[in-house]
Amino acid sequence: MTEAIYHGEPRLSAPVRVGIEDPVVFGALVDRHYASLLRYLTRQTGDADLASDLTQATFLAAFRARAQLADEGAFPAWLFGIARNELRMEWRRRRLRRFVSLDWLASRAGAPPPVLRAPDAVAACHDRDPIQRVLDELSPPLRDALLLHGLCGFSGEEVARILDISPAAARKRIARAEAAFRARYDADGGAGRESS
Amino acid sequence: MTSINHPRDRCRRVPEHELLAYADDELPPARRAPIDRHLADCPACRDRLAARRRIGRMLREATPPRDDPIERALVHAALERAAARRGWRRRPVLVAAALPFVLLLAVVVGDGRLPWPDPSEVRPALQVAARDRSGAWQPLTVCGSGNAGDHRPSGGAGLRAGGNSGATFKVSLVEAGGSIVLRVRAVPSRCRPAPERTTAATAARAAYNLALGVPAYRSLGCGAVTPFGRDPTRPGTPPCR
Repeated sequence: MTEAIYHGEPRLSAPVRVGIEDPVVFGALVDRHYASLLRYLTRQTGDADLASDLTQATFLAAFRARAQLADEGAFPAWLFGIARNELRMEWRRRRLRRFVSLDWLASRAGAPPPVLRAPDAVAACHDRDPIQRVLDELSPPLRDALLLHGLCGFSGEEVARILDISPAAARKRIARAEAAFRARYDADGGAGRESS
Repeated sequence: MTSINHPRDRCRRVPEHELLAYADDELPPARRAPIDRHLADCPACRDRLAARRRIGRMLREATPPRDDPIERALVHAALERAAARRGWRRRPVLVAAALPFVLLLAVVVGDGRLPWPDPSEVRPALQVAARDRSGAWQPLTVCGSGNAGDHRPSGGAGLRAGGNSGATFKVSLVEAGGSIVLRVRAVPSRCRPAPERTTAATAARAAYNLALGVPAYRSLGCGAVTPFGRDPTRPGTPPCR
């Protein structure tokens, strides 16, 4: 499977689609964009399993809504916009789940169940991956802009389309995100640690 | 990995967002030319441009694209199911008109039997392993009972089973004892914890749905499923027909 890096390759606005209504053609688009979408969602969530689920949900939602794609050449930007929606719904579901206090649960059930006694997966991930730790410290809008531009290779105008803001606002947000990432990464000693 | 330290000697002549549009090649020639000239004379701005490109490179190097053929096969299967459902919805009149004839034909060909399984007739389907709430893997022989409501995956492209179960599942294929086993892990829900037996049973149903719905896997009577591309006639576990 080829890697869908958009810098230096046919850009997102390239005509990627001939008959997107055809499930076979849509399947080819899945093959083409699967790895890059999974990579984006992995960085967004910091959880490989959750990213796989969201990738699947994104393609399914895109397939159901494919008739709404006005500009057929803008499929990747449209797809990543759907992925952001899926991600947002997932965070909303998780916020709802947080209403159950673990302390309350422990007081009701005695010792917490094994799954809750397991080491914090997020902390373990941060120990392994300093870049993920820095990304998680960014605000969601800045992290989104940075990943779409820096990781996925979308141009400023394409990021604007995905985020539904003006190109100028998108570029300013990307610039702010890069500055914030750089500052936190350097404050974290990231560059020194990576090079040592 | 390279450093992304920003140059300390900063020049504000070209704003950050303008430099970004320049790097993305999104500026018209009239606005691009002065930046070209400025960059030729300003090492600080050249460093800013290089630092910007280093961030993107660093993110991409630290996050290699991850392809998962099994997960991708699940996406394709989900799309096929969605396409099939859509086709039925588009031709409701045609389907309604053809249904009596199809049923009659099925009864005639089926030697007087109805064309759906008898609920009392339990058919061995395949063996899966499901993890119970304690985390231990439990082998489960999944049987088709003929209850369509039990076998229909709902939402989440087959990864969530049972619309009212409140349970979520992760599905994977693993090598076990020389055969490929479909494993289903129930993700515990903190909101609606289900009894252990219910969770395991629903997980088993999810596995059954998945094996039936994914054309990349072939059910081999009982015992195993094989991933796409593997010769289904040479499984680790022989069919039990």
